[in-house]
Amino acid sequence: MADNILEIQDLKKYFPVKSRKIFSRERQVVHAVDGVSFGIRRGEVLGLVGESGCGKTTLGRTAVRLYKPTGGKIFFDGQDITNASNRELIPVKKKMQIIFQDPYASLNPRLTIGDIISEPMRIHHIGTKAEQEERVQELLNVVGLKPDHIRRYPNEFSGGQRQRVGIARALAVNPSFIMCDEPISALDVSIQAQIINMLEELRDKLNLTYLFVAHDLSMVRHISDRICVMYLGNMVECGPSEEVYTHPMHPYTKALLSAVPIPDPIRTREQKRTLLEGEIPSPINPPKGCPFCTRCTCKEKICMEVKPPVKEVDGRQIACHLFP
Amino acid sequence: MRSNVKTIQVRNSELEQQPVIISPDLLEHLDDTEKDREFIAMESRTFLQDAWRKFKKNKLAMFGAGFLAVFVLIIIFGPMVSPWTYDGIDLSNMNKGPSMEHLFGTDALGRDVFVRVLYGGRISLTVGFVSALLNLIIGTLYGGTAAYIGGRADQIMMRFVDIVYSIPTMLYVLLITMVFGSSLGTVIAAIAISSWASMARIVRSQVLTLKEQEFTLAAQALGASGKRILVKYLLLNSVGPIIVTATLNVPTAVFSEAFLSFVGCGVAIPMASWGTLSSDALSNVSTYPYQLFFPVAAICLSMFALNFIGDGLSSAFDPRRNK
Repeated sequence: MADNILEIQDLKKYFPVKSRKIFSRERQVVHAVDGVSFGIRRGEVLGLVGESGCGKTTLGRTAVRLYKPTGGKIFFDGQDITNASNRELIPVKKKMQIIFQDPYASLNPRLTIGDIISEPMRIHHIGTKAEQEERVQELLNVVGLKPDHIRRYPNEFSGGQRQRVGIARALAVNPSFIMCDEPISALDVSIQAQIINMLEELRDKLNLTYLFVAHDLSMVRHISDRICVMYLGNMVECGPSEEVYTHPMHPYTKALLSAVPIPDPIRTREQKRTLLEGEIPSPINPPKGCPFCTRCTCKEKICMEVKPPVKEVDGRQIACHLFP
Repeated sequence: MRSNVKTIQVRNSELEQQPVIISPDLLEHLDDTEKDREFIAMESRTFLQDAWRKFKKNKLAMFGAGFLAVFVLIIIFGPMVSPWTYDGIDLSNMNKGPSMEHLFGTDALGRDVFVRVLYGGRISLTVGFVSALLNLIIGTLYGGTAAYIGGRADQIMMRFVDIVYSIPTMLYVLLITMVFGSSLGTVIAAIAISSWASMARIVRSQVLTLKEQEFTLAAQALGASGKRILVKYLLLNSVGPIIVTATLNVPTAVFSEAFLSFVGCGVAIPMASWGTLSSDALSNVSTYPYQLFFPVAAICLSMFALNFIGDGLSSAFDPRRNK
């Protein structure tokens, strides 16, 4: 607990939905994140996986206080930042940075690469102009770009190069924690490997901690020490990455992992896939009991009525009634 | 590299039957400078350089810009060179036609029409540019702020814009001139006050879309202040539409001023704008039509030039018309 760089407890984030009826007073909310707790140890990579719309990006963004949480607590470096004001957050934001999903949208098209990378240093008033420029050159070198790229504009770069710029920007203020919000999903497969390897190298070199949000399961397995599986705004299973992959316990994790394609047709034919029926329930009206009860293969009566608490089983957290 | 390929073809045609066998000695190694995959060959151009390049290709817009530049120079330096002044009355030379002495003739009080048209140009173009500039500043800040804050504040601020928009320009002018008297300043103020609303709407719509972009979120994540995000991220990215709207506002303002002066709400005598000149000349239009012709021609030509420039800018700033 003391060694956790980021600790979230029972975090909730609801988004209000506009009602179609003009005069109706009832307010509907999307339960994007509905009571998730975990801690990230210093120097660790925590992978956050789940299908589209399960709230993993929202969770990541709320955890770094880009969004204001609806409930729960967030501690960063032991400091409660749940309700910190924007002014109080400025020194915290220096230590936690974000790498965004879409490298085409996350760079201001009217600023040069040099301006983009030095922007965090200017905001936090670090160094003189000359020192900032020197640091930008250093960072360009670290992420594998050329020194003369400094005067160019984002539109002159490819997706992979832009993502490198995004990484350089995140590293500019020497953060200790980086939230990677699907940093590779917008890139080509060949570029994905380059970026992942670079992120790993940087972690070792700079002693970083990552919260790695992704839906590419094999990539997450490769980079993460531990992974958390989310479903419909809830955490269903969280444990050491290899163990979760080789022995998934929660029925949802089993189904999710069986959906990972295997690059071998013979083994694919032999493999028994767990196919889920039905659709994800609407996060506006989540099921009363276990969030997964509508699609689970082994549901019992209790699943429909009581939401399973998170239990510690064999060194991992799991939320399922099957495990006493 | 290319020259090698050519020699192969030449050799082939010379020797007709003998096919050329491509052997390793025909190939040459790339030197290391050409091996760099990440090298960007095209020279780097900023957004404004790019727009200027496209603008230069637009003949009509370049013609408008050139014409306007010459026109402005004549307006500035012409009266200095001319022996006549705009308010020098010469009762022995009333209503003379154009001659070498008086290029555009004289008016009913014997004043030189050429100098008066140039003086009128100073007033008219000043009104046009200054009110467009005021309009740009007020509209950009107001619209940008409304959109950036969003929510209820945005709703209230934009309803105020609707109110401003719905009141006719004439009403502002009459009210302002009644309170402050009729002068150059009041005309500029009246035009600026009545026209910033559309600028505010355009800026607001731009900022609303940009606000949802990921780079704005990235700036928030870095801890940037609201002012910084608004100026450096939101307004900087809407600079194209803002410049275009501001440029097209200049001719509108010139025309509004001409109209206001024509109906008698413009600048006070003996100062003259194109509008007052036209209005004065109207009473003797059947006898001395040239007195009306010159100021009206000045209005028309400058309006054409400004509109061409505005059109050229709007296509230069439009990324979908990239060539």
